[in-house]
Formats: sequence, C-alpha cells, structure tokens
Amino acid sequence: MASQTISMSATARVAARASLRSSRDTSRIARLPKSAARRAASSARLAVRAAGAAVDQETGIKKMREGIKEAADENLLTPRFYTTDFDEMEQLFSTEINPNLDEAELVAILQEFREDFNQKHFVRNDSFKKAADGITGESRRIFIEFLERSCTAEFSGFLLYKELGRRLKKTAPVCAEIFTLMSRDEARHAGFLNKAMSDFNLALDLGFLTKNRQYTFFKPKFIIYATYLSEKIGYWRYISIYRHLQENPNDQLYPLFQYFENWCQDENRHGDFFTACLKARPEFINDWEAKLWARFFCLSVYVTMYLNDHSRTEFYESIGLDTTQFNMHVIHQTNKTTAQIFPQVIDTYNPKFKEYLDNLRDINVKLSKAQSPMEKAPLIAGFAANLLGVALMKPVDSGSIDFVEDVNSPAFMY
Amino acid sequence: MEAATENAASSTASQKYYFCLANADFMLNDENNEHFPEVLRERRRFYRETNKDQDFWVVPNPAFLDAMPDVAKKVRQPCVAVVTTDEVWNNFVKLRLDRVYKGCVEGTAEECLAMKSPIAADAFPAPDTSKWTAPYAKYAPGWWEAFYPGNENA
Repeated sequence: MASQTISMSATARVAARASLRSSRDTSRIARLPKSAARRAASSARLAVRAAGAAVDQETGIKKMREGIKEAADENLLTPRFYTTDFDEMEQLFSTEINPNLDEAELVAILQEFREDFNQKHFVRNDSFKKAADGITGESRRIFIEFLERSCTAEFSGFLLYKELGRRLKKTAPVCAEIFTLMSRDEARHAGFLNKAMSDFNLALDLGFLTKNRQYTFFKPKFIIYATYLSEKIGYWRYISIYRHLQENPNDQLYPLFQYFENWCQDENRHGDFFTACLKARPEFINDWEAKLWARFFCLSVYVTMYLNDHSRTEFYESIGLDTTQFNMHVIHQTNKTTAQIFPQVIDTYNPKFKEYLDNLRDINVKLSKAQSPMEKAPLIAGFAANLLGVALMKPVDSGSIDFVEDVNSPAFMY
Repeated sequence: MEAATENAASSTASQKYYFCLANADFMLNDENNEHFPEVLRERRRFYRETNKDQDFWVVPNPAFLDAMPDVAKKVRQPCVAVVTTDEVWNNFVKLRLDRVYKGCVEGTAEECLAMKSPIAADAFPAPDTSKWTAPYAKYAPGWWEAFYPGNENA
C-alpha cells in the first residue's frame, strides 16, 4: 500500500457510517482486532505519548526515546490503519459458500505472488549511509518525514493483509494465500524504509504503532475500492519517480529510489488482485450505488494526494520534480487504469477538475494558517463547495470489457 | 520472418499455445500500458535468474489468425498477440490488460509463433509533446522486438 492516501476524515466518516448502518442492519457487530476493540471500547481517547521526549539536534524532530522517532500525530491527511468485517469477507470469498466463484484470475495473480520476483531485490549497500549523511538541515527533516509516512503506509497494509490472510485461511484458501503473500511484500517495503530511517539515526517503533494507532473500520467492499486505488496510485507514483530519476541522475538524492522500479511492480500486482476480487464479485461494480462509491473513492484519493504533496512540495522539488506536473500525471494515469474496473471514474482531463484541485490546495494552505474559528468557517465552506464541484462533474462511464461490452456484438472491436 | 525459436523449436511436437490478442497501438504504444514492457522484462529477468526457458513471446500479426477469421475481424489492425504455453500466466495477462481477446491455439512452435509481418519501431506516430505530461520519456519504440520468437537471448 504505497500511497495510503485515503485518509480524509470525511471519507472515513461517510464510508464508516455506511458500513456501520449495513452492519447494524444485519444485526452483527464487527469483530475488531483486539487492540482496536480495546481502543473502541474506551470512551475517551487515550493520550499515549512518551514522557520526556528528546529532540534530534539537527532537525528538531522529536524522539520517543533515543533512536526512535515519535510517531507523527494523526490528522486529516496522515496514512490510516484499517480493519474490516472479517466474517463478511469470508462470506464473499469462501469457496464453500460460493461454489461458482470464478477463481481463474485469482489463481493467476496468486501464481505471480508465489513467483516472488522481488525475493532478492531489497538488499542495501554502503552507498545508503553515505548519501544520508549528505542530506542535511531542512532537507533532512523533510526526507525523514517522507520515509516515515511511506513506512507507516506500507506497515498498515502489512497489518491488514496479514490479518486477512490469517482469518480466511480455512474458508477461502486462494484469497488467504494471496493476502499472506501481499503482507510479505508490504513487510519488506516497510522494513526497507525503516532501515532507511536508521541511516538518519532514527527508526519507527512499529509495535507501538500497532497497539496505539486509531483503526478505521471499512466494510469489505470499501476495503477493496480503497486498497485497489492505493496500490495502483502507488504504482504510478513510484514508477514516475523512478523513471524521472533514471533520466536525471543528478537529482538522485538517496539510493532508495533506485529500487522503485521493482518495488512498484509489487504495488501494481496488488492492485491486480483487487481487480480480480471485483470481477469475482461483480455486484460490487454493477449498480448505481457502485458508481457513486467508485467516484467518491477516486475523488478522495486524488484530492488527498494533491493536497498532501503540495503541502510538502519541497520534497518533490528536492528530487527535481514539479509537484503539480507529477501529481496531474499520476492522477491521469491512475484514473485510466482504474477505468478498466471501476464502473465510473472522474473526467480528469476536464480543465475544471484541475481548477477545483488548485482551489482546494489554495484553501488548504489558508486553513493551515487560520487561527480563529471565525477565520476558518468561510474557508471550510469554500473547501466543501469545491469538493462538491468535483463530485457534480459529469463522470466517465467505465469498467472491464468483460462487464460493460457485448464482446460478441458486431460493433465491438478489440 | 523466421519464427522458429531456439528453445521452443527443440520440439516439433504439437502443444497448446495460449494467447491474448489486442490492437498493436493499444498493447505496445498506449501510455497507460507502459507497465506492460516492465512486466515482460521482469519475467524475463526472473526466468534467467532461475534458469527457466522462456515460454512467452510477443507475436505481431500472428499467422494463426488465418485459421480464425471470426477472431481476426474482431481486432483492429495491426494486431499483436502475447503467446505463452502457460495458461495461468495467460489469465494474468488478461487480468492486467483487460482489452484483449483471450484464446488458445494448438500446433507446433513454428506454426503458433509465426508472424505475418513485424511491427516496425516507427509504426506509431511520435507522442504529441503538448499532450505527453509525464516527467519522463516514453519507452524507446521497438521495445517489443526483444520478445519476438527467436530473440530469447537478445
């Protein structure tokens, strides 16, 4: 889950409300992982914070203890940790309950994961530490924050996939093995990033994050939409950074980016698995409600990424990218890829779309500087108006040709 | 063009070849399909590292379509097929690319991997620079030639 960008609280709130309504309708309380259940049961949010935090001399970064970075505060745009209704996930993919489930493409993607193309890929060398020592001052702080966000996002994918692999093992063995193998990939990615942080004399306490992070509940179908987009956009982000740096080696700040070509193939394959899930359960993509949710998730992901990246434009500039160009390219390509499975997508080539994004970015900057509620209120209203503007744009109908085309019609051509 | 392959030609036996057939501009040139040469290169690297004989190829304008006129007329020309003896991997190609005709043909390597004509490196117009918004250049045209039958060691 390279780009855990589905983090706007509005997204989680709306989807969670829909999830809980459905859950309540079926008179079932979702089973949460123990840590999340314990957290959910408490009426007050625990203020878990290490006492007497030290501070990194050069960058001002707070430490939980020596060598361990204090986790960034959660806010609207930070990577999320997810949990889901595991019983419903079993219902969906159990081969006993669904004897006619078409597993051909699930088996195909499972074979790709079993090959383990990247088994020998994530090996560090001496150039890492040397490069890290050369990143100083503000650039160092920005880079560490990039590593932390990326590591947290990969780690959250690891937790979710590992749990799904464990829960589905008896009833949906193909899907269970796929989730387990995807968690292998995410663990490698997270481990590689955490080792990178050690070059900056810091690391994340991933065990601490597991126990103390807020978990967002999503129904299985939303997990599939969300993680599909997260993986595909991760592919386009990483391959774009990699190819840009291959052509501009002087911008190569740190050797991590040289691994992005192989890395992003993992993300792309993960996305393919969720494509196969949606094709195996076409009720998730074949009605008007699916169209609305598909556009909603696309909107959330693209807006979140655009705002996040522009709020850290110095990072992208430090590796020679134009933040806006990079974002628009990634959005266009992710949207085209997504159009191969989601029933509707946003018309990202409509010039109004970018106007709305730029307005949202500008308002976001002002919001981050606003002090009083009176100052914030009109900005929030403007933000909502621009989001609504995107939501009301005429969408593009889309989907797999297996579902939206009559491939036997004389008019259809490959 | 001689289609016999160094590896597959070692057998004159008939066997099943699975394929995904698509319009050549879509499969080889579409900007959103720039991931596809990456998939093929990765797989080739993996096969070499694990000493497996290559069992997948890119076959432009495949000759076997002469025996399938109904299929041939369903695909915009020029066309290209990804051909493999691995049925499971063929299902993966369908999953990844979507807009492909998935099928199967039986015969010798010489028959099933024969191309009627190659796709030239300059077959597609250069990308309109005003529309190419990626922060990198397109993959070099002709990347697919490395995957023609007979080019396994290229």
